[in-house]
Amino acid sequence: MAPAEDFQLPGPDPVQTLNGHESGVLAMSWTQNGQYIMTASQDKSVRLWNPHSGKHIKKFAGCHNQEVNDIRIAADNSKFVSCGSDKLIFLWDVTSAQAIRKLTGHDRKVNALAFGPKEDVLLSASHDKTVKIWDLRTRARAPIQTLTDAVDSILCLMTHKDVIITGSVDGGLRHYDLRKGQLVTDQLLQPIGSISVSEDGQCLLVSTLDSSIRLLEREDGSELAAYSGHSNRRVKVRSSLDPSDSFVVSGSEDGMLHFWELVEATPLRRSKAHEAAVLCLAFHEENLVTAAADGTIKVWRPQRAC
Amino acid sequence: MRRSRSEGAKSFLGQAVARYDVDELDDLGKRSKREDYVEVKRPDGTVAKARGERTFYGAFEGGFSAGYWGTVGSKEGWEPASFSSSRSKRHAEAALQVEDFMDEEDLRDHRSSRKTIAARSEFENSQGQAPNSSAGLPNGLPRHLEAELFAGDNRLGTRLLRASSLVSPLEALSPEPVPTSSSAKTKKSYGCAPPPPGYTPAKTLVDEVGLEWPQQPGKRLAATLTGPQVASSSALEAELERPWRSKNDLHGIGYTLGSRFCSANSVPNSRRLYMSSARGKNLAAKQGIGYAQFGTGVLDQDDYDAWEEVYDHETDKHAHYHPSLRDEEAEEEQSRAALSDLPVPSVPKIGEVPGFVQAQGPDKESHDLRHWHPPPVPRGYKGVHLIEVSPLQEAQEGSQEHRKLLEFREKHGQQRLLDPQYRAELLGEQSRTSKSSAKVESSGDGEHEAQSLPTEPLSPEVSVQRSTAPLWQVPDQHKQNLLNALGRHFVMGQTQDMDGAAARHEPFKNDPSKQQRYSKFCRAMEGKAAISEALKDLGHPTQVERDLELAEFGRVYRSFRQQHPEADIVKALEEKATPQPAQILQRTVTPWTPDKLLCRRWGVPEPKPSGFSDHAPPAAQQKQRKYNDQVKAKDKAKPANTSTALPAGSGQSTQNADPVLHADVAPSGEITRPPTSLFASIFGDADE
Repeated sequence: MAPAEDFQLPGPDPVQTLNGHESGVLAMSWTQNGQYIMTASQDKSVRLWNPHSGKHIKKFAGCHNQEVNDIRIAADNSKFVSCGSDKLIFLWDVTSAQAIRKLTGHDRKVNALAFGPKEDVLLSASHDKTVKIWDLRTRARAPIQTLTDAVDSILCLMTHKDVIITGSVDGGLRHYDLRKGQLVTDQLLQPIGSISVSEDGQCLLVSTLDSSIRLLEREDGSELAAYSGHSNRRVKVRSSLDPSDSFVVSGSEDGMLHFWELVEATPLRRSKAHEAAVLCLAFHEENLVTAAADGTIKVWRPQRAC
Repeated sequence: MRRSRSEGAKSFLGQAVARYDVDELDDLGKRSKREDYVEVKRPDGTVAKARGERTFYGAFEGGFSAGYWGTVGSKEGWEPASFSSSRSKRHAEAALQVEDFMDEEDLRDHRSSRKTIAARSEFENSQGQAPNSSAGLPNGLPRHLEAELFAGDNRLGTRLLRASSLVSPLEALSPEPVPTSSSAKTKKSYGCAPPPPGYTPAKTLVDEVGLEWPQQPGKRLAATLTGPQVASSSALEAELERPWRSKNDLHGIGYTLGSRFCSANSVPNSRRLYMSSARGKNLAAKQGIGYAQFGTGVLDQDDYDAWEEVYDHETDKHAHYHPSLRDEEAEEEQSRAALSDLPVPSVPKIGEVPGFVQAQGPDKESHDLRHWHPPPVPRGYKGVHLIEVSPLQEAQEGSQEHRKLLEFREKHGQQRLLDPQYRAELLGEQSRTSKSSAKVESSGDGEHEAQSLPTEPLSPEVSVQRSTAPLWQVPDQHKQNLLNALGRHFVMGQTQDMDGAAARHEPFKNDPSKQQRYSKFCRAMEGKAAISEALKDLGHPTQVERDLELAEFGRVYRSFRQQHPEADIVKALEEKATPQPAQILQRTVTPWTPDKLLCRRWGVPEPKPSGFSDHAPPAAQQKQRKYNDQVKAKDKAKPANTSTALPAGSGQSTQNADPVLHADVAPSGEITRPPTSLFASIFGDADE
């Protein structure tokens, strides 16, 4: 996890600014090839963009009746799933912009989604304190399994190899190990808003709603580093490691973008990125895309001396 | 029965015009948005599902709203009520109309000959353009003068004037038709009121005007305006500004007497229809609204004024009806009188407008109109006497303690009440402050003197200042001293031992040495230590102080024992001595069984229920250890066989010897993971 020498921080000015969403952008996802991004917004729509050219390509709307909370793109880029506060999950066809499947079963809004390996299963975390695992191979209406261990709303969800990791408002960071058949719960005592995993899969970067980010060892749950300085108390704000695992980047509720050095946890840069809270960000190689609660999306790239 | 024009106009103005008609929507295959969901409103007006979710709204459907909203319909619950049919009272409550008593023939005649009182077209159009807008006012008032007079002026008087002068051009041009006989009735005009009966117009300007003065009041005004003696427009405007007697009814211009309340008296006698001869009886029994008799309508009671009950003003009594709406006989008489008066035209003064009486002083009636009498109480209404006592009042009156406090406050004043010392005294607590502090003072102990100093009032100002400050702003030391002075110990809210079972008994937490002495004292009291030990190290040089503290310990111990006779006080004291540090990050490992299908979809083998893993429970680990030992023992026993078999080159012998696939047992006896290729061949998973 040594910082890569050739990886640089994104430049101070955005390369592209994408305007189109009428309300805050709650989630975003890169396509597998890094050509496009999809964003999910409070304006009930999902949009497809080309961040390199700054073009808006397509709008996917009409299915969700309330804000779209999360989005995941399939590996072949032909389908994607979205979930919203209307308790529904839709599987979309990208080219026809039609929903091809609707998954119902949650009692409250659905906060996060994750694909299983090979995209045979879909996991959805909801405000109804459950994670439901859906079978995408068959047309079964009922979920395969429902995880009911959390005692409060589950805000974030991710899968890594054979482990399902969920973060809940009750402060529980839960690892469901399918191979071992065990559930490991790390109690962080603060609502967990974001989880991301390092490239080597050994560390977890966890944002809690007490304005702190922790780097945790996955195996024993020990805290390796803590990053603070940003503001995150009310909403889900994404934090992430850069692809080379050299620094940590996180949005902030005051519209700033914070960078920390991974190991030393020293702040590298703090810059005003958006006018509203920076809710989500995602790296693809050296391209960083951030999106804010005012609906703007910005693309950042390191400045290279030509 | 019929739809009035105003109603049509209202609906036209008030409702947004939809793009499609409701009936067309079905044909077009569209659904109106309102049909998408039903907004469920609760009886108290709140919306049950504001976002339009599906609502299981019923008592027996087990839905979200299956509580009292779905069953008894009120927050308070079931309210028994008895149903009583109004069928027998139906005739009493019906407001019958003339048409209800007519047969078809009569109805037809009635319709053909009915003279329904309605506004003339000019009045209907009071907000719009005058019908002869191009020609100016009918009697030749120049257009520019009219514009100057009335432009932008929308007051009631101006509107009244404007309306009264709007007669049709034909009427205006042709002279007033003189009726040849009394049978040829003049066309009735319902507009501005004619002058009151006692009114005699002034005749000073007759010669100068030289005009025939018609009886139509509106024309009179117009004539006044067109006369050569008309002063400048500003003067006229000033005249118009004079305080006219205000309208004494609530009706606007163009009011049609279609209201059921007014229909009783406004219909002339000759047109009334009497179905029964009980009219006289009704008149005699005027005290109630005599609808109770069958066939007796409100029309029978000609003396009954429906408005009289509502507004029982003497002055307003007849003023609710338009003065022009009189009986026909009276009208005929008036028209005859008008004919006789015709040769003597009269022109009012400049300062007077016919039809209006100048007000004497300020407008009294308009002032009175602000205070309408309340409407009559509905028949059958049984008043409920409610005693409304505010909670504050109740508290003031009901609470004995509050009364006591108030008495005390009256007696001693606010400052004393806020003093904790006096408050304790008031609440009946025996204050030990004076005693202890006196003793301390007498003993002359430096340390305790310093502690008790703040509670001892040095001067009245100081004591007031300190005691009136709220406790939470007082510094800790001061607070402790205060509480000491009050003879209490301060127990923090978080560590308060409410039931004695929490293993916390620290009455002197803020003073560790004292708490230590107290714990020794408790041990001695419980018989767990010698009494001499408790008395040994008290840290007080004087005997008085020792006695005082021991007495205090005794009090605290006794009160604790009384409250919690079963609590183990020594254990409580000991346990508190070794507090456990709170763990921030905790990790718990529990078994979890993924679904079989989930494992298959995920591409992992189903985990064994016992869980041969590092994180397995101790029993499982023991089992695993036992298994490992068995494997080791077998391996130790086997090498001879395998060594003999292996040179033969047969791999099958090993398989036969040990059916369990544990090729991963190293020579040292430790279990290692099987090769990745094995997993790959079984599950097709490359990452193993």
